Amino acid sequence: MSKLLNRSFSHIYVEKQVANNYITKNILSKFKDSKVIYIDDYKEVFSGFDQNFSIQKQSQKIIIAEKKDNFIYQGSKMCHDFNNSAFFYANNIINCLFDCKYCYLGGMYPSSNIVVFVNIEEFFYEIEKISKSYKNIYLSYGYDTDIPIFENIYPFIGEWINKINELSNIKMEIRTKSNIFHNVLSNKNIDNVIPAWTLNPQKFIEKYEKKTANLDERLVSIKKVQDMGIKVRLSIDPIIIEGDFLKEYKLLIDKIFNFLNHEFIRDLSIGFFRIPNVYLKNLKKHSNSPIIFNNFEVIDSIATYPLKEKETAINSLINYLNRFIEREKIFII
Amino acid sequence: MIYVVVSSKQEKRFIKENLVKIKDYFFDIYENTKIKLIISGIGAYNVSSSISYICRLFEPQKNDLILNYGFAATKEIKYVNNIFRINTVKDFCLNKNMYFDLTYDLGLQERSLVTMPKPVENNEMEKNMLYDMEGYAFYQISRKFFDRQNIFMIKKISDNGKNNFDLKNIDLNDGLDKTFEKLYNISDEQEKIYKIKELKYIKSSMIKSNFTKVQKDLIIKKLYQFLLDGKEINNLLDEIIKKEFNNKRERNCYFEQIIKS
Repeated sequence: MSKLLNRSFSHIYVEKQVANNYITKNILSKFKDSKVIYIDDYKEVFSGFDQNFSIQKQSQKIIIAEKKDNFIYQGSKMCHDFNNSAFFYANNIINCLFDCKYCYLGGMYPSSNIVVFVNIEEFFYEIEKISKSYKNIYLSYGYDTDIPIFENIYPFIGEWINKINELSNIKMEIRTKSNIFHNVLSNKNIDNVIPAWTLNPQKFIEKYEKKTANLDERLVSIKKVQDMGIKVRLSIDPIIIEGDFLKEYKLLIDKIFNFLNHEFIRDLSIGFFRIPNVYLKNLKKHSNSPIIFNNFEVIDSIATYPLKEKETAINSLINYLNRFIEREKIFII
Repeated sequence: MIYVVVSSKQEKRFIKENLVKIKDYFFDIYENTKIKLIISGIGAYNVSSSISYICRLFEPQKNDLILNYGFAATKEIKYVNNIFRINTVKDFCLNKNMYFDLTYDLGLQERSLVTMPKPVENNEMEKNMLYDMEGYAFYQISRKFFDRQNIFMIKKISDNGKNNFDLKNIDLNDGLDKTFEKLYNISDEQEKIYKIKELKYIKSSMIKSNFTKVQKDLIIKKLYQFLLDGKEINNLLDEIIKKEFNNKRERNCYFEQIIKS
């Protein structure tokens, strides 16, 4: 198939109104061999369900655009708020370079092309406004993507960290499946940053989390961040019910706690595979991944494993985790 | 299958595949096992009606592609006989743009196209733009029947303005062999994604069933949807094929049950 495809980023679409933006110019300078196509509105390329997300994923393009509204969103009820009443998330990049076969992005967006919103000053303006309304805020940055892997395209993380540090009442989580996050975070003041990693058994990473770092690579990266004196968040999510999964996840837990420094684990969240049912239906139109064709039950429009299956498993996993980490540091979704 | 839309017999000459003319009252349509070609006539209205017509007639599958191949003009005469793939098409009257999906590589240089309501003079043209009379309509209508990544437009530069078109200047030996080979491969690769073999099996099995043609078509669509949803359909298909009815009423009731399921 690869001989038939254009290489990734062979074309870059640029909204005319951001053609002279400093971030746009910086990104384009890194893709001198790419053909630039100027457009009026990113939705002309991105929108429309007459596209095949999975096929496009093999040859992603970049769309550089200006976000016009909805800069900061209320945190999703499908994500843990870690006991923060003011939970928000923000993305200035849509879509991911990784190719996880269960990812909700394939059901949420019509296109797998990467959209980069470069008017980050407006994001920062909205964050400032929100910071005045709440005592403490938990902000998840880059939820609709894996932000650290875009650092070579543009180092957004540094700019966001600088902004958050100006506002003392925001803790910003950045979550990744990469093995480069320690490089991204080095030499930065990250007192207000919660570095977080998603972890799964290597067997499931190979099967379902294509193009991501393998488990060992992620653990090494986590350890390096811990060695900087920083507490990390771990996320065993999504838990996939397949085969002898309890055994696999217990082996994963063993590996995590044998390798990492327990003192520098801030907390750990666990959650079963879950997805809005409407996204699941869209995902099935273009994906053959067996994981999305399970017999899910739908409660409040969210498709997930049947409650009975989850209850048995979760109790077993929590009991096992308790050997290594205090119960109050385990968050379940 | 590759659906090819050309606006004139001269443009059809570039398609070197062996095609047989089929009997059709409304359009000149040619085919072989891999191509269905329609000569639409010049202009947006003709190309729109021809695409709708050919798609209604043959009902393209998800892995079928559509290609518009035709002449275009450009300002610089040095580009006559050059072939370009179109990446952007603009409607001159609406002043609106549409963008082709560029997932696949055809190994051709790219250009933007402007679709005009009438042939254009050289002094009205902008540099580096191509001009035709069908492109925008072709793309707009094709998107109703095909996924975006399966729509292609290739233009051969025939002239540099309204009064300069002369078939004698055009090299008719240019074939699109390599392009067609790529298109066939693209379509074949997508068979698996869209479960085309399974769909063909459903269609061939349904021939044996005791339903009317219209009912069979609707049941096939339903079963295909189940298939894409990851549902197991072999038992249901088996039951449908073997089902016998005492009368039409019974048959129609059963049909309704399947469609509503």
